[in-house]
Amino acid sequence: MRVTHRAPGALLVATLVALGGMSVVGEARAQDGPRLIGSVDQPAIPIGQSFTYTLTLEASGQAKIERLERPDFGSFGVLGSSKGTQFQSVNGRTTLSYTFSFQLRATREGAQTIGAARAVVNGEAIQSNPVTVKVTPRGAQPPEPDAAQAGQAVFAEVEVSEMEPYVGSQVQVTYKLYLDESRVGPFGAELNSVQEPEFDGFWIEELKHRRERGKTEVIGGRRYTMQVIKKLAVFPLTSGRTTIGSLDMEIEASQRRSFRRQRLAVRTKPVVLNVKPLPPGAPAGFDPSNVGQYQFRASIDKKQVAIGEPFTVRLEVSGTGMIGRVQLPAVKDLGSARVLEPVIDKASNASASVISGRKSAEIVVTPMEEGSVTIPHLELHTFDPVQETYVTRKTPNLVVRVSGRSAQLEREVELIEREEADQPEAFKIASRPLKALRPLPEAVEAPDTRASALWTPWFLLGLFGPPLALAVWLGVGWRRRRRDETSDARKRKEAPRIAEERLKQARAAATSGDSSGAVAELVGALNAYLSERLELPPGALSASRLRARLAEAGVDKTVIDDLIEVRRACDEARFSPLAEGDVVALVQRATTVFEALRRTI
Amino acid sequence: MRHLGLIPSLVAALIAVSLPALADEPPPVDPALKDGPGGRAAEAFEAGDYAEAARRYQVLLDTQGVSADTLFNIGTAWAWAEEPGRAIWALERARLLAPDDEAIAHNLEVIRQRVRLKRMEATTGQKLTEGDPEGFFAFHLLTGLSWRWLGALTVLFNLMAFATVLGWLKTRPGGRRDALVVTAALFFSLTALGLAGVVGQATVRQQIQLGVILDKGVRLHQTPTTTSEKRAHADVYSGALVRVLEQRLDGWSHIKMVDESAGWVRSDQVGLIQ
Repeated sequence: MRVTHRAPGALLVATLVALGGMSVVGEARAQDGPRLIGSVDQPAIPIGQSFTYTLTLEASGQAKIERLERPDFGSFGVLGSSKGTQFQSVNGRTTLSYTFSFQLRATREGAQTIGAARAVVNGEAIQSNPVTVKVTPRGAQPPEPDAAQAGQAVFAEVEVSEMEPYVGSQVQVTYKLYLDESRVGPFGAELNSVQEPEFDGFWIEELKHRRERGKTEVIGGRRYTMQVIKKLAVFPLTSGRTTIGSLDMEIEASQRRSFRRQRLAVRTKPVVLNVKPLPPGAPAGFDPSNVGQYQFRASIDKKQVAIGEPFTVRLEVSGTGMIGRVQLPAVKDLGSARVLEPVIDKASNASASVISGRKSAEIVVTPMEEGSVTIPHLELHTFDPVQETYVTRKTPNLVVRVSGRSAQLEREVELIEREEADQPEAFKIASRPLKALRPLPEAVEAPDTRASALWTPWFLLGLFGPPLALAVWLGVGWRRRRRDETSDARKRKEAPRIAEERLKQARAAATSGDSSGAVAELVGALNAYLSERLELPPGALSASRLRARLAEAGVDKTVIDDLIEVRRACDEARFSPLAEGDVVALVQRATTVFEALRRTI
Repeated sequence: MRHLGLIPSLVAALIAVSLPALADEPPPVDPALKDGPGGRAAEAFEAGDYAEAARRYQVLLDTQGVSADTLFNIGTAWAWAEEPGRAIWALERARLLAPDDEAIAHNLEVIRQRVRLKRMEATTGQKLTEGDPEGFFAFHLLTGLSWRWLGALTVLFNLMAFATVLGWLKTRPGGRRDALVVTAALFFSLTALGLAGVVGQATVRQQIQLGVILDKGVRLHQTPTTTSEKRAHADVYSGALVRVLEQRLDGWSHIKMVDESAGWVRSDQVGLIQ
């Protein structure tokens, strides 16, 4: 019975209205043209079960989506739908990806095909790949857990989606843990460790699965909580009977009547697959690695180039299967054009039930003659394990027009010639033998990996020490001179007071009858005063020098004469002591001279 | 001009024919090497398992400490294992520790030229873009000098300059005093030059991070995500020197190539030289 559902169609139309006025900013590139991709989350499904079909429209550049039609779902019933939009911007180039997901239910057994969805983007009609889903009878559902195991508090099961897969096809393997919570203590049970099974002869990819609360299942009259431990996509690499090893787990469960925890070893049974070889009738050029459901397309980044200007041919295969092992066809026989080695890129995605992805090859082609370069149609032969048939995907001829030689090529030829000139030397060096291994020291000293000498103490000391030492030396000298100068000035300043003191003492000595003491004080007072004020050493105070210096200093001549006279009288008094009255008179006269000098110097 | 188109093909053919000749016989391993440290690595090398030898030397490097000799052996073993990126990485680090070691310089040059010839063979007549990334010259000029010698010379010139100043202060005006001024100026200039070298060395070490592309077929991502647009770049090949602008904790490195373009690669695909 064909089940139709109008709501998703309405969804597409409504979305189109919204998209109608939308333009995508960016630069158009041939290899990133609009694409429409259809995919399912499970390639095989038991009848009556539901699965998800996803239609993705990728548009980059100034794309305007004018029309979008959903595919013909054939015998599948549509249970519901949803949509989503993803936006990506790289270097100012934006890409929009619209995703429409349909929940479908299988209603008829056998290989059922979902037709191609169609769209018109920027006036270009594109269509998605048809997708075939294998609908199995109800009896082919994963078997119930072994009844013999039912009754145990905890056990594990392995569920395999296909027991007789084709070599290279995808088989989903799910490891489940069953726990009877009524038979463990109040603190439940924990999974301690999981030891991966042996997968000799398989290519393995891990599928996504969410760690969520277990589902309750009734087995043998008991209620078990089931949790998925691991989900794998395995691809058998050889035909024949091949065994998937056991998964070993250790469970720590609490006990009902004690606080002790019990360790339990749980293991799944090994599973033997009967891997079928690929059927006969493979087309010529088929590579046994190309097993899966794949789409194939080829594109070029430029439609017109100059001679010597390279362009890129991009081959891309996408779909479900061992995408990394798919062998892409080679681009060859392009006449005089030079073809570089392809740069291969691949990306795979793991969903909850299937491994899908894309693999691309970018080949740089440099035309060397005017005219055109035609990349002839390329064929990718694959085996579809769901439809159990060989499928051949063809690309159209791609033509690039080539105009006359460009100036850039002239420059490049010149550079190549220069490189050739250097080449013999390079070749000579490359031909030299490598130096042999060398003995290693018994003890390795840690190398000093400091960046530079800049922050080492000895360097800083050596750099700043000399100027600092010079500065200190100069500073000390300056300070010493300053101190001497200060001392002389102080003496000079205090000279009158000292002279007055000594004259006072001379007066006292004269009145007490000590004539020699009075004369000594008198001479000392005058000489010390004159020496300081005239900045002459005491020994240099001769009469003639005194006359000259005092005259220079502006002292009155009579005062100078009096001073000379007083000094002469003092000299005489040292050898012939004076009477008391004469001494007093001499002191008085010296005091008068001193007062007169003090006013001038 | 028409015949020019054939020249690159002829060169490529010549290289393709000649390259097998480059695969010279491995030198015999000195028996003494098998008794000393790294003996098991030497045995693996002698048995022809060069990658294993390199890994064993690497273990030695990780456990016993870094030495130029161990790095030299790692680089040489990787070269024999046809892993030029890892070989150049190890030898570049060895050269930082022993700038004057002739064997290290020799093996580096030989491996670089072999990589160059293989690229010429692979590109079949396309222009071979190559060169050194920005900062490479300063890096190798300044890190090639022993910082101890540079520092010691700078200090010596500084001491001489100030000794001359001291002499000038103690000397009376005259011809000798003028000669001392000239001498002091000369020593001060040399000190300034040495100081510039020391500062430059520290700056280069801190700011210029060079790296080597380790793996073959590395592609350049526009942004540090696996889903971003990526492309092959002529200057990103196993053994290519690149400037590392940033290394992020999430495992991506921002690199800059000779042509000033930049992009992201996974950090395990690029080895830092410092």
